Amino acid sequence: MGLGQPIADAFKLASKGWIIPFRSNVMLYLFGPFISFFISFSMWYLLPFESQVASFKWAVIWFLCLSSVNVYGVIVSGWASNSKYSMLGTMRGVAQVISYEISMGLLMLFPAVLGMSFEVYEIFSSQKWVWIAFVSYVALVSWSITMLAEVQRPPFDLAEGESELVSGYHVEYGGMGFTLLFLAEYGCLLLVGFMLVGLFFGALEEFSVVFFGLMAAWCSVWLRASVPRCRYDQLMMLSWKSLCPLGLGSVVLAMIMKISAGLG
Amino acid sequence: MNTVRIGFFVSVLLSMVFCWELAGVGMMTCLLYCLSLVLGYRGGSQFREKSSPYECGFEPIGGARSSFSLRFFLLAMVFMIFDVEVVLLFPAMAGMMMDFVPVSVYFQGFFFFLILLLLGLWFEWSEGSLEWL
Repeated sequence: MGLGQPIADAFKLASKGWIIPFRSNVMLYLFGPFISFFISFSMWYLLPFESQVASFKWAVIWFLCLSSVNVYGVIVSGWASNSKYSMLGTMRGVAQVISYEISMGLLMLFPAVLGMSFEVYEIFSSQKWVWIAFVSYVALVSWSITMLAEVQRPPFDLAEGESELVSGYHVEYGGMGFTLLFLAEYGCLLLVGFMLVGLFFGALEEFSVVFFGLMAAWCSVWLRASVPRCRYDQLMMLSWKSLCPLGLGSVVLAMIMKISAGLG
Repeated sequence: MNTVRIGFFVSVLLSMVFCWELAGVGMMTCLLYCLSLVLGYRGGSQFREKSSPYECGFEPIGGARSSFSLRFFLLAMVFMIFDVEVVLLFPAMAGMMMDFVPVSVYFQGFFFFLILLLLGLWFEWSEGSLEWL
């Protein structure tokens, strides 16, 4: 009977106190969580649910743009709170997110080219006969790793490594600022799960998108329990020296597949 | 002139209606945030100890806005170049998807472009701007 727990948790968090840290930039300090939350929940517009007014034609580009802008939440909230820990966490987080953005952009083109559309619903429904996960297992794994790093989940949560930086860029936040930063992170995580299921497993009905997307998000929590945090230089090498060439290769692979299938 | 202006306003209004969800998210966030900021405010900078930045029990030494490692700056430069190139890929792919030209024709140009990207990556790799240690 733990169903009431999340709601009670939300009330507790909202009623917690907060302070303005000494010599912080007050406006930016207050604005940082707002940016993070707003951007991460604007991204949900691209999912093809019945409740949306319209299907979004450029959804993939929307996702790319907003997840690029999402880094400003980290920059603003970390820099403005005038703490060394949050500053270090910000620098790490920004470097990590921008490096993984390259491979994200490239790997996202793989399902987009195969589905011949930037519209999420069309990409989902183009996989009626075979899932893109079966077409290229490498692209699936690289995409999952990229997304884990992009939303800064373990084992890639170097920006908030508890053992060396106390909590990274949100160490000075309390109350609703902290809540919004965390909701933004979890909102991104769920969306990424839904995107994974949609782009690579072609879930078409709302129920299966939600169910398997939640399973993907659950897997990331599972990873948190089972995998240790990696080293920072390893993280960067993984992005630039493995995922980036793999992304370039998978774009070429997708185009070659299109041509050899006689669809071009 | 006037009709152009009216058309502009109509299109702005339409796009605002279309973006109702964004406005909803923004309003919800504002409401939640303002409410709890008012409810949970426990004093500003008048409490010196409480509002001092967290530093493991020390008095804070110096400011936090210090200089940082040049590695991060270099990485941001490399990112800039690559991101511009990746962003250039997207409109071209969009053109391909709209069936202006067959994929095979696009591929001839794109293969060259992607090879160029790969060569750039190789150059940065060999030059050592990707190394962290």
